[in-house]
Formats: sequence, C-alpha cells, structure tokens
Amino acid sequence: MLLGGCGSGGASADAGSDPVDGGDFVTGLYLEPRGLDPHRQVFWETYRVSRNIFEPLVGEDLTTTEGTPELVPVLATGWEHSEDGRTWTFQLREGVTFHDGTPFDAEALHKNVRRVWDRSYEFFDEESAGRVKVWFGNLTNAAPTGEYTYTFEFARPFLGFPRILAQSMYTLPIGNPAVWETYGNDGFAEHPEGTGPYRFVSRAIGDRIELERNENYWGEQPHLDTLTFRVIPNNQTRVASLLNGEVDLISYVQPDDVETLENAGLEVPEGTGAELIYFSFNRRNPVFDDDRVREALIHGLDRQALADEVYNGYATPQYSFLPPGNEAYRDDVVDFAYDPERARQLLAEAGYEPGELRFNLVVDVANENVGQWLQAHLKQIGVETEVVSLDRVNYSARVYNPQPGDGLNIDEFGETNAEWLHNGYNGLKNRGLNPEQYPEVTQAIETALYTDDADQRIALWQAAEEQLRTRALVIPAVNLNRYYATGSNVEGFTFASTNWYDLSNVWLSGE
Amino acid sequence: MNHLRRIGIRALNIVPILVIVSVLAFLLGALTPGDPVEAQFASRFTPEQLDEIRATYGLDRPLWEQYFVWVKNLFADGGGLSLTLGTPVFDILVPNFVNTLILTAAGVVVCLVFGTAIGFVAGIFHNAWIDRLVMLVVQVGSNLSVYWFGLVLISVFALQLKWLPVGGMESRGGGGFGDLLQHLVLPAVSAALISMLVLARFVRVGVIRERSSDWFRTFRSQGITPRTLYGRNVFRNILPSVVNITGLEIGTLITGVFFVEIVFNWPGIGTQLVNAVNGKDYPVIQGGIVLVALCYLVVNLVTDVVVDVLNPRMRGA
Repeated sequence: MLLGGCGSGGASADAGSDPVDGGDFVTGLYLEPRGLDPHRQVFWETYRVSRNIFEPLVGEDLTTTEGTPELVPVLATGWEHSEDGRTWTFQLREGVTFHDGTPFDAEALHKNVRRVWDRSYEFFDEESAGRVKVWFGNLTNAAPTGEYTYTFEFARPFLGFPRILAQSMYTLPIGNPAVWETYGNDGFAEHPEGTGPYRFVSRAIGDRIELERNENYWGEQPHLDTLTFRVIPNNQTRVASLLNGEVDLISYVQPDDVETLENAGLEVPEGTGAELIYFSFNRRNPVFDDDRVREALIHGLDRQALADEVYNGYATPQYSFLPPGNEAYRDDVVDFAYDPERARQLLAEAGYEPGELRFNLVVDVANENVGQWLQAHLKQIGVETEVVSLDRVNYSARVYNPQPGDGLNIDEFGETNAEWLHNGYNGLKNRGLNPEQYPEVTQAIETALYTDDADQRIALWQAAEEQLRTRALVIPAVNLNRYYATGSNVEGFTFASTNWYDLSNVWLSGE
Repeated sequence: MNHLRRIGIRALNIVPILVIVSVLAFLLGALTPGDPVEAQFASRFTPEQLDEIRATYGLDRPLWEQYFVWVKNLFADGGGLSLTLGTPVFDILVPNFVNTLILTAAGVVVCLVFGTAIGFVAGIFHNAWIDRLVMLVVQVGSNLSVYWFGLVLISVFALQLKWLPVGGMESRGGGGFGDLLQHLVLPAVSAALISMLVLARFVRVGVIRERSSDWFRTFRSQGITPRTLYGRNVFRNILPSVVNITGLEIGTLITGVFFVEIVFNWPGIGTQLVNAVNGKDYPVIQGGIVLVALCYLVVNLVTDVVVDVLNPRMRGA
C-alpha cells in the first residue's frame, strides 16, 4: 500500500496516521463457531476465526470493498493448469512452518489431501471427505512432484479450482498433519494448528476463543498482538458490548441498529458480502410447476421497496442469483422487473382468479418481518399467503420436509467463485426442484463447470446464470450492505465483498 | 440414625427419576422435527451426500440402538461427541455448568439477603407508607419479564452510567475476583428479581404473623426490646419457611438464569443449550437436560436436609 506524502482534503480514514503495532482485539461473534478443523468447517463465523490459524494454498485479496477479490498466493506461490484443464500444478512456498515448528512442504500438503480424499490413508476422515466431495469428487490423482511442487489431477477439466481453494468450506485450508497423527481426526479441533499469522491459545465453548500472534509467521506480521473472539448471540447485547467498548468489532448488525451505532460515533462500513438473501420455491408444491406462476411472483416483487422498508435502506436489491462479489456477476441483468400489472396478467393466464392462488410463506422467526411484508405485497397481485413463522430448528425441518401448502422460504447463501452457482442449484434441488425438468439449465451448469477453455469460463457461468434466471427458478431478493460495525479506534478494517474479513491489516489507534 | 436413613432413601430416589429423565431427554431430542444434518448442510449438498454424513454420525440407526449408545456414552465417553463442535459433550457442558452455578449461587444470595431484608422491613412497618411502597414494587416487579428487565439494567447501568459491564464474565485481558463480581452484579440481580420478590412477600407475611402473636406481646410486656425479638425470635421462626421458599424458588431462578445468560452473554449452560437446540445437537441437548435435572434433584435434597437441620421438630419425623 502506498501512503500519500501530504494529506489532501478528502483523504481516506487511515491516511492520517501510521499503523500502530500491538493491542488486544476483541470480536463479538453472533454465533458459536463450529470445530476449528480446516476440513470440517461450517458457518462463516467459524471461518472468520479459523482463517487466522489455517491458510489456504490460494487466497483472496480482501483489502478492497468493491468487485471480486483478486486471487493472491498464500501457501502456493504459483499455479498452472494443463492444456486440457484437468491437471493443476502448484509451486509451494518455501520456508513456511506450522505453529509447532514442523515445516510445510509437499508432503504435508499431501497428508491434508489424503485426509479428505484417500480412503487408504490411516487418517482418512469420512466427515471431511463428505464435505469436500462436492469439489474433490472428480479428483483422480494427487501427489507431490517435488519437495515444493504438487499436482492434482481431475477426471474432468476444473478451471475454477484456484478460487475454490480460496473459499472457506468444503475446500482445503491446510492444517498441521502432526496434530491428527497425535490426537486423531476427532481431536484436531481441540488442538488447531496451521501456518497462519495467529496461533490458537484457548477456547471456552459458549464464551470465547483466544489467539496470539505467531512470531514465526512467514509473511508480514499483523499489527494486533492477540485476537479474542467472544460469542454474543443476542443482538442487543452484542451491540451494547460494542457501544460500551467491551468489543472492537461485531458482525450481523441489524438494520435497526445501524443508526444507533453511527450516532454513537462507531463505524458501520458499507459494502456487500458475497451472501445474498433469496426466496426459494417449494418445488414439491405443484403450483410452481407453471412457469407463469413463478415469473408472476418475481414480477410482483418490488425489491427496492423491500430493501427500503424492511431493511431501512441498508440492503441492495438483487436481480440475479449471483451476488455482486461473484466473479461471474453482471450488474446489468434483471430477471423479471417489478411490474404488478404483468404479474396479475400472468396469473390470470395460468388460470388463477385474484385471491385464488394461496400458499404459505415459511420463515425463520428472525425474518418474520420479511414474511409479513411479502404477504402484504403479494396481496397486491392477488396472491393470498399465510406467514408460518418458526424457530430455527423447526424452520429448517420444515424447509426440507415441507407441508403440501408451503410456497416460499427465505435462504441466505453465496460465494465469490462462479462455481457457487452449482452449489446454489444443488440447494434448489433440495427444495424439490427436479433437474431433469430443466435440462438446459443443468446442461449449462455442467458445461461451465467442466470447461477446458479458461477464456470462456466466466462467460459460460454467465450463460448458466442466464438460463437459471430466465427460467425463474429462484427469487433473488436483497443483499445487506451493512453487516459489520467497529469501535471508534479501529483502523484498517475493510468490508470486502466476500463473507469474511482480514484482520491482518487492522490496528488500534490511541483511545 | 433415623435422620440419616431418611436422607439416604431420598438420595436413592434420585436414581429412578434420573432414568426416567434420561429416556425423556433422549426422546425429546430424537423425536422433535428436523434433522441436524439437514439443518447444517442441506442448502449445499445433494440428498446422497446428506445420507453419507448421517451414516457417519450413526443417525441412520434405530432409535433404541441410539439410546443405548447414548447412555453408554454418558458414562464412558464424556457424553458422546457434540454433532456441531466435535468435542465430548461434558467437556462443553461442565465448564458452562460451573458458570451457571456461579450465577445461580449469586442469584440465590441476592434473593436470600434482599428478599429477607425487604420482607422484614415491610413486615415491621406493616401498613405504613414504606410497606405500601414495598408492596407496590413487589407487585410490579414480580410481573416483569426477566429479559426486558435485563436489557433495562444494561441500558442504565452499563451504557448510560458506565458503572458496570454489559456482559460476559471477564474484562479484556482478564481480571481477578473483583472483576468477576462486577460482571456478576447485573445478571445476579436480574436472575434473582422474581424469586426475591416472592420471598419478600412470604417473609413480610411471616413477620406480620409473628409480631401479632401472643408470645410476642408477652415478651414485649416483659420489657424485651423489639430489636432483640425480631433478631432472635422472629427471624428464627421464619427461617425454615425462608429456606423452603428459596429451595422451591431455585427452580424458578434456574429457569430465569437461562434467559439472563442470554441477555448478559453469561457463558453458561442456558446459552449452550439454546445453541445446541438451534443446531439440533442432540447429544448436547440430552446431556444438558440430564445435568440440569440432576442439579435440580440435588438442590431439592439439600433443601430438605437444611430444613430438617433448622427445625428440631422435623428431625424425628
């Protein structure tokens, strides 16, 4: 990063002073992270902690707020694929050690790969393998080709691989094999060790996770001495803890709290995560087999109004199933623009008199307001709905085992890699979507997933997205544009367009 | 001898109750709708992949088989592994349970001390303005929601006055016993609120009853000061009912503590159970229920014993 010589008028927030090293940084998480095991991760909050301990081969540059983060070398310094796109060779970084001092090399990487993929390995982990299978299912061969080179061979071309490696879940952050060799696969999460800028100190489940700076880190040393992650599930308590200076950063800021926080002089940075909020159809309900019904529901939805009225404007309308941070995102596409007249007409064509089409809006109790808004809104196009608001447990049970009258439910998910569309489509299949009913969508996704033409890859994903979008298979809704809040003395925090943040550039200015 | 036998029998009674609780706890977890694997993975995996994950956790086996594996785990294997965290259940629950006990104990102290004091003052000044004021506070207070009351306390004492921390058990960088006490004040008061006011009402009635009784008048006529009478006689007479009510109220208090833990981010078993329920983490839910039930039974037993000790007439009974 360059620092301007003289501070001009509208300089950015951190232009004024130089970063200060040191300090204990406390983050308030909105939910308990899962086990700190690189290959068994779930939840963004888990990764927001564990990415300080474990590193991937390839990472994303999280210092910019807009656009898709650039890929950056982390434990690999270079990577290239074969002509046919099936073989990937990685040059590994030399001079890197795990937190216990053992070196990271191709052999250590190999043990990581074998743990999630090779059934003949003594420490093969069924659970990890189940999770990474979505991307490693086509892996046919993987082996070191030198002390610091490693090759993956896939049955089919897989050009999206490097960016997949930069993601959080169902991929391959690198853990120290010595740990599972000592404590077993189940014991890893209690002794998490990687190569990252911070090392694990302690964890009290339900309370906190503590990390300290890794003095032997191969890269640039981060500014902060220690990172503490406190688990504060209650939204009001989390906000109050930030207001009172007990924590320095919180996630999952509610739209209603943005103003309070800003008025108190705290930062609520603007940005967009790679996660979007969308409504999915219960495709076990036959009313949605008619394309016109699905199109009508999208035409009938004023997403700008949703963003303004329900999210106080702290959300951006989404018209595509790909979030803004996604590498295949296009900001010029609109699925079915708000047009209530057209919506009513389509419903009439489908044979529904006003008030005749009825279904349930199944929502998590935290999203009850969205459900009520949607109910009132759909009434305007003659669709009668009932809001079924359930606690989180019953919600997820109901979504995967719906009642016949269930219609829409709310989902939140998304990533920066174009291949995410494949995941998103899998999610829709779990809502009863039959892929054989949409061969052109399935086909387009497969084509993009297995292309061997690097120049065409993004265009192919955009084509797949277009197929999915024009068939009205999902209703993208909004993307939150406020999500984190930081204390007034926190500098260098960036709301990057993915679902996590990098604390290595963050520092604390004087009180 | 008789006395010890009675305690022994009561202690033994705990065993069958615990067995019943364990069956109920198991069924509660297993029969509620939903599936932990779906809850975690269904938005991203295909049904076949979900089945594979289920099999790795043994969730595809028959219910009775799962129950026996679970009971075996309770004794042999630290309660089995948490589905969401991958660590043994009791490694998760026990430290949190200790935190809950600390908060509950603080709540009981607040309840006992302030409940008795408020009740005594109101009883002594029966029908005076101070009694009416206390009764008004009692009436209003015992109908407050613990959750709401907690948020008000945070807003006033933490955010506005900045006297006390919002939540958690320790300040940045850790602190000693004093720091823990600071973090305890607001949650203990919230947790104790309702029980304290219930107790105050009983104490007040007890004091009014005692001071209008014959012996009180007789002693007064002999020139014994009210101070001595209240301190030595009235207090002792109402002590067993204070203990009894407190023992009963500990149940209410524990229930309240679960809410309080969430509001004040107290890392206790309540917070843990809510997390577990949200993640459909059966082993943690089931282990937690058994642990709380055990605690409840032990508290009841201890209350019985204390009441016996305090009341010589009950000892032979």
